Amino acid sequence: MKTFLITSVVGFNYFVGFYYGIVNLFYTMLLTIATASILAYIRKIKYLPLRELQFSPEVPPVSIIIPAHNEGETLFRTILSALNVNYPDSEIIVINDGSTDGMLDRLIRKFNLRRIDLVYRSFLKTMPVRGFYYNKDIPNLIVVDKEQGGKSDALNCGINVCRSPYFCTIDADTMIESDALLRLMAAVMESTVPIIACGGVVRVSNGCTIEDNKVTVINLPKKWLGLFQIVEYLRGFLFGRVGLDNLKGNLVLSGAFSMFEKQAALEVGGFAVNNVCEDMEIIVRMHKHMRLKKAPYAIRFISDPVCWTEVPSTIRAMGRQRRRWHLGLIQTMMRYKTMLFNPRYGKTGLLAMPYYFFVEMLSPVVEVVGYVSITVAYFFDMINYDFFMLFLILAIFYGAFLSVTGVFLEELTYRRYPKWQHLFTLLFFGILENFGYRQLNSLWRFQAFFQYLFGKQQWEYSRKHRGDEKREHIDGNIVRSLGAARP
Amino acid sequence: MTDRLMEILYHGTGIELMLVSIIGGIGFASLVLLLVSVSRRLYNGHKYRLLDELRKYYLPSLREMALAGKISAQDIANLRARPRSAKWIAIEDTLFLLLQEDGNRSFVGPLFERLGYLAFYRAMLSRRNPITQAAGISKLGMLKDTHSAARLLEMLDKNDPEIIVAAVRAFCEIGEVALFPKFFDALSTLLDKRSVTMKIIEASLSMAGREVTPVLLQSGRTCKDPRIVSAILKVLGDASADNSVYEFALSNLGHRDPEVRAKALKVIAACEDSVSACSHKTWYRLLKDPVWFVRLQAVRAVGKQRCKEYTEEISSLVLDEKWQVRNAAAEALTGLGEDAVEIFLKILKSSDKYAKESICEVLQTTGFVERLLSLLEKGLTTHGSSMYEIFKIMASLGFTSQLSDYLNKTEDRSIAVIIDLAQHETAQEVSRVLPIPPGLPSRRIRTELRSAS
Repeated sequence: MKTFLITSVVGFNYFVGFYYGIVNLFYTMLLTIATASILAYIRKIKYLPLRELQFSPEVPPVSIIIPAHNEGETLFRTILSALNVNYPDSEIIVINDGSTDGMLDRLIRKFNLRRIDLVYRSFLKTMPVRGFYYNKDIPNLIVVDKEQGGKSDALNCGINVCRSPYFCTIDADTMIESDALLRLMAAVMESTVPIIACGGVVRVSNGCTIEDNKVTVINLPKKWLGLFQIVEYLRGFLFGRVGLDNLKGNLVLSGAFSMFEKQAALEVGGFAVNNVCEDMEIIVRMHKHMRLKKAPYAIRFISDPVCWTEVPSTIRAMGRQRRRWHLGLIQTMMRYKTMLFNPRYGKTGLLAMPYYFFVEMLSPVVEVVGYVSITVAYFFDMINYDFFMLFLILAIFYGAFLSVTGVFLEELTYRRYPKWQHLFTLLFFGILENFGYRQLNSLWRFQAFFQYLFGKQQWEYSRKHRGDEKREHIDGNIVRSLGAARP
Repeated sequence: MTDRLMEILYHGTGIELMLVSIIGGIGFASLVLLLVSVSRRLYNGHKYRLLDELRKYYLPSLREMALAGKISAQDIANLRARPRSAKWIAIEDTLFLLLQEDGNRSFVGPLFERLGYLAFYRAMLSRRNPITQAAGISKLGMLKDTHSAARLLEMLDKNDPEIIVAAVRAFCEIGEVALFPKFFDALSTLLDKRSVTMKIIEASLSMAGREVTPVLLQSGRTCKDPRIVSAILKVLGDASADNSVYEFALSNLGHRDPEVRAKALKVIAACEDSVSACSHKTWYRLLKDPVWFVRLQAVRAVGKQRCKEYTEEISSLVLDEKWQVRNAAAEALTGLGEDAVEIFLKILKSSDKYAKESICEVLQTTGFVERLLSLLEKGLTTHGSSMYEIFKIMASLGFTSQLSDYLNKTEDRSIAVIIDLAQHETAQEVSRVLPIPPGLPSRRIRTELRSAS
């Protein structure tokens, strides 16, 4: 028995080492691809005809859908930022998803709305709509009041209401930059392969100065949790997403800021109401649908359209958010497990799905069990001390390297953080995140497996209020996911 | 720690040495990234400061020269700079700034040539990197370099979409009229190869300006590719259409391609009194076109110009299978004003739920309900009872918001009572009270209601 245990622990440690090596090799590959791609894109955006497109009647109309439930003043900011986008033809559809705190009345007062009766065409089944509100002086704003059904249900309602060939989803606490929509659409217009979905970068607005519904002065948040998240977002968006996009392997576009072709979204049946991460689920479903249909399509991540969002500023709120993200990942992976290594789905089945399954989904399990196993092995002298230390140092160094690279890519390209202090703070936090923050993240993600395995029926959802989140519960399978954007 | 590391280096196993070297490599790479970030920031800080200063320095003198409209050989020599140097970039930026100001093009345009910018960008077209080529193409387009137009046409033969998109855009910006026929030939091939999108073609053509309208018309008349004809019609339709454009659109109303027919209809809709100039037969055919978006554009065109002779066809389109056509038809009927009341009522009394909803929606969104209420209030209508019935049906379908709003603000109690009745009484109750509805002070309303009953 003892021999078996020792063999198991030592064997697992070798597996951890092997797994770690493979994962990091893949990361290195992504990093290389992302760096080359971003540098090329930076040269390209210098001659993007944004100014011409801004006034061109040939630019397709877009509906901006903002689902909201019990949102505070931030919603007004979001709506106003959406109303101020430089785009020739856009409409804003705000969905009041059964708010109970008087949000609808506040909206009516703020925008001087009047009730209007429109025909609600249920291309996608949703909870009943209670009414439409409109101000003829703001003709491109419409507020839809509906019974509570969750974020996906609200988004589906928005799709039913929108009349544009494209729609963009943004979170109620997210401000889009004025050119962001146009930058996304420029890519859609240029692509000879139909782009059915695309997304841009989500940046952290905590600490920034916001005036006239836009970020005017970029600053770093005072809280260390926000700083860690900035580094994480830079790494996630500037090298993770860009790298995967070049491999045509992106399975996630942030729900905080994505654009979809309406017809494609309708074909796949809209957003799933039984998944906590509807943004990922719909993308995987779109991949599956289009691959089976054998139709040319592209799902793209574009690295320069930017939106700003508030990230959780307390450990508790963040833990809840990360558990939810990972739970959504597990749900999606398990739901579409038949796509895994399935050549029918091309790169999605052979590259993207295995990456998300074995690297993104299983990494917290390997990491958490690995920490325990290596510590046990060390204390019971089953592992060489030098080897243990070297491996630990390597793990920390490589983690720090990846974070530093995220900051470096930002510095090399968009340089949104202007001060020297910003650069050094972010680099410092890139290194520091490997001592505790990363492990904490893995633990939260590990906990999501328990939520998944033990079929927790009461889903938690979060509502952010001045950067914090409130914990609330609702019954059944209705899933709330009005939290922040994932990197 | 150091001793331990030395021991590994001297006596460690292969795997330990490998780990140490990987750690060393990663540490070194991180350090390099850090140094690059810092040095790049320092370099950029210096570069942008210098550029700002140079721009500030050159702007007044170049503006002065532009105002004077002449420049000496000495000035040219002073302004020349090494390509891509700070001075080169600053002068180029300044010239672009001046280019945007009215009346400077004749001075600034040749200056780009004399200072070597055009030669530099033309040379970029021969580079191997597609992004460099595309950047060069784009600049030539911005500078409207007519000498490069032929070369840009050649660039359309490349296989890189990046280059093709930039070349299409730049060519249209330059607007070299003589080369447009060749350009359209090339576009057909590109569309066949899926190297460029229709949207890019349309957006680029719309940048070409009004000067190219004659050549667009000419190409549209001779072009056999319906995609190109459709793009030309789209662009011409978005710009203000004149007589020749209208005639071109008219000639395409019978085109075999539905996209072309629809685009031609959009152009027709934009021209005043154009519908009545067409034969009835053409319109009957278009309003019954098998393709829904042609019907949509046809009904919009007819509706926009308020042609009463097609009322019957439009009424039948309110029952169309596509909600877009239904709504457009209902909207077109609202253009007929009070005359549409009886038509609406007839359809609202039909069993087609979707048609009824479309009408109710359009009646609200177009402000037709408000117009009817205003007519009622002023006593200027002979359709009072029909209006009442329309309100009643609207209320039964849940379209009550505007009626409620009206109730809240009106001072005319007689109409208020009618609206109130229409909103709240069920059909049976209304018919029960209709002969002499209680509480109606106005004799006119009472008379109308009695006649309706």
